[in-house]
Amino acid sequence: MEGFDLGAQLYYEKDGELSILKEKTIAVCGYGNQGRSQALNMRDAGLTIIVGNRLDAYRARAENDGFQTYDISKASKLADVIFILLPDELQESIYKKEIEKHLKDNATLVFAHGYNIAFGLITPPENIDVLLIAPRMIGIGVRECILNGEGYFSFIGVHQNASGKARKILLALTKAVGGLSKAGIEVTFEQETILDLFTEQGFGPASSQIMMKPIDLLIEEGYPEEAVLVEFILSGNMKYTFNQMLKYGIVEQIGLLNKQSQYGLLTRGLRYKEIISEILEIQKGILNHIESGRFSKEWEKRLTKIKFKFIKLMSSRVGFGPLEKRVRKSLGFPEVDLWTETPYPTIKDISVKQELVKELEEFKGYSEF
Amino acid sequence: MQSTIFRNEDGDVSLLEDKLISIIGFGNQARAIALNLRDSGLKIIIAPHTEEYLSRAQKDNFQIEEIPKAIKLADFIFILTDDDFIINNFENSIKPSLEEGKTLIFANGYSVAYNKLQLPTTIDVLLLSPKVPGIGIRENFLTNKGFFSFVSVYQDSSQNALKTLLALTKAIGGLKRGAIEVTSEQQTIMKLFSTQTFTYALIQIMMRSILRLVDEGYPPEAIFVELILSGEGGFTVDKMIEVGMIKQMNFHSQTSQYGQMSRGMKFRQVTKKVEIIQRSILQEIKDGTFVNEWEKEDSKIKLNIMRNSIGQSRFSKVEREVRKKLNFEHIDLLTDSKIPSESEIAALKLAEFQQQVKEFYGGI
Repeated sequence: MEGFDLGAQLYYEKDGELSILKEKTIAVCGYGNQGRSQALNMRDAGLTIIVGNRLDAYRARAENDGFQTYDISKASKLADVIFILLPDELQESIYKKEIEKHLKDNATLVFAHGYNIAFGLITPPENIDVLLIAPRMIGIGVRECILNGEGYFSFIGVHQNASGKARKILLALTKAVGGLSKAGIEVTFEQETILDLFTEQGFGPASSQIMMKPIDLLIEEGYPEEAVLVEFILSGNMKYTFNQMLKYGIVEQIGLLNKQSQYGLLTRGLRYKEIISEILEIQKGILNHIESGRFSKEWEKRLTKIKFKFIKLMSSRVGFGPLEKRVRKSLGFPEVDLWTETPYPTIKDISVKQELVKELEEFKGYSEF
Repeated sequence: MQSTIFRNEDGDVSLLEDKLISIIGFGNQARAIALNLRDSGLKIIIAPHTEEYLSRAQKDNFQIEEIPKAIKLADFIFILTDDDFIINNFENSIKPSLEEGKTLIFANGYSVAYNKLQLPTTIDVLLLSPKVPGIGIRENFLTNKGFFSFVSVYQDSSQNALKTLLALTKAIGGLKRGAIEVTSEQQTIMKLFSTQTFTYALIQIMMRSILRLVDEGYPPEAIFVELILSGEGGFTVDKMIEVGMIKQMNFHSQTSQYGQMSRGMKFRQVTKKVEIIQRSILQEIKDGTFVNEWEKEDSKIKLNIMRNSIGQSRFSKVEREVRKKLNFEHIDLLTDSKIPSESEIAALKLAEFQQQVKEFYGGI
């Protein structure tokens, strides 16, 4: 229990050799935000990129960006390397219908998420290299962090090495998408999948259960709804907390709070002792469900999809959903269409942003008061 | 309950022409407010409360004065130091210069809400509490995005206090997004309560979840990147605010959404217990129990015990090692606290407390 092993293999820019990709055609299948950012980064790295997408707005976007576009079957036929950047839940059927039968001998399949391989929903033929390149960054950040020089981390791994060169290809491709800019951390497909699912299912709900309850309590006591939601969420303060955790560490940043806040937070924290043990038990069960494959089997069931629709509907109708809607309206937040695209920053935007970063640098290392 | 929300059209900065503003303190919040006010064309004097801040204010080319003089010269005085400083120095360095007609502005309602100051009745007293830290006050002013603030009039001797409040709020950039009317008492209680529940939960659950995965044999480097070091958290919060907490769920895959929602329900029983604890935390903030406890002599020693315990916890060690390996710098923020001696602990009867802390934070 006491020990921990920092044995993960890390890879950096110097470990990737792009020349191995020189003769290869790379197809990016799926032109959502991840697909788009990765395709643009790879094109900037000098690689030959085509885009596979059905005829929809995303395909038009790829055309607009100057890529040769095809439907996914055609792109799979043409390509030596195929990036599968489609939603998890669509991958299995698209792979079986449009990709598998067109795969060239010794082609390379690249996944950005281990799920479909880890749970055996997709089993590529033996003559194919199967790689994982999972940027630890949202789609738009994958592009932005390369343009502004910040870089990002990625999880990478080899699942199947048919060509004997899978690792070299992996490192070259990761470098081209920008994934070695901070470091590529080697993990297995299973590890990546479980870390991802557990963060969503074990960490997310556990923290939000404790974090959201105070909102109810204050509103129940007659505090103004708008003020409560601003205090807890809408101020955007949490972003700065995350930045402090990033800069100083989760534990260390407690030292930035004033002494009274530290005292309040740490003494009151002791009262959760019993609850923490219960949460740990629940988390253990959740992790076990994920690791054993029970979660993914549950999710595959048709009945589950119906249950899911129901839970989703309920969540928007009761409790927090309507409250949030009301408060956002009162505070003048515009109704945002979910799929409205955030444009990538232009070179000018980036230089303005870098000026801003420079100006704000002066604030770092000082306390609030 | 609906709130009053003030916006740009409610504030008139021209009311501040020819007036002088002094700022006591020059930490991040004070610096951001000072720069914004100066950019809004106002005249500013800084009265730093530490040596370190003196040179910082000089570097920014502000006029600098001692606290009493800065108060004497100014029409409006922002108190932007920590609460302890203001409570300890109010009678001697501040009150004597607080002539009739001046305005005191607090960014934190604490000292007012808990009646820690004997305020003269001939001045105006305002709350102007930006809801982002200093760096955010400056950033959102420069990018013209604005930020939320809590504002209210605590004492209105001039019969003009609300107008002054809104002019000042506008000048720091606090009306662009909206300033919500919140009393000093409400502001203080919400702030203490959110630190003791919300912030705490985030830290605690993050630590526990990370250790669970470490103990299951997953690579610590990957775990820390997944949960915090990717830097994705900031982007996610931006999105959450842009489209809403409920709506942003749609950015996640269906698998992820189902996982979060169905597993979230498993915590329902726990939530009921959480509620009982949080109710008592809120009650103690409201009735003054918490503040009285903090003011007792042994609370500073208790804090040191806890800081040391969490700073030396197993989690802390893993975190430091992982950060080192991934090239993050380490800055000590917890180890400046003195470890209390055995005899000190015995004299203050804190042995039981120490044991309790060791079991809780040491066990992490």
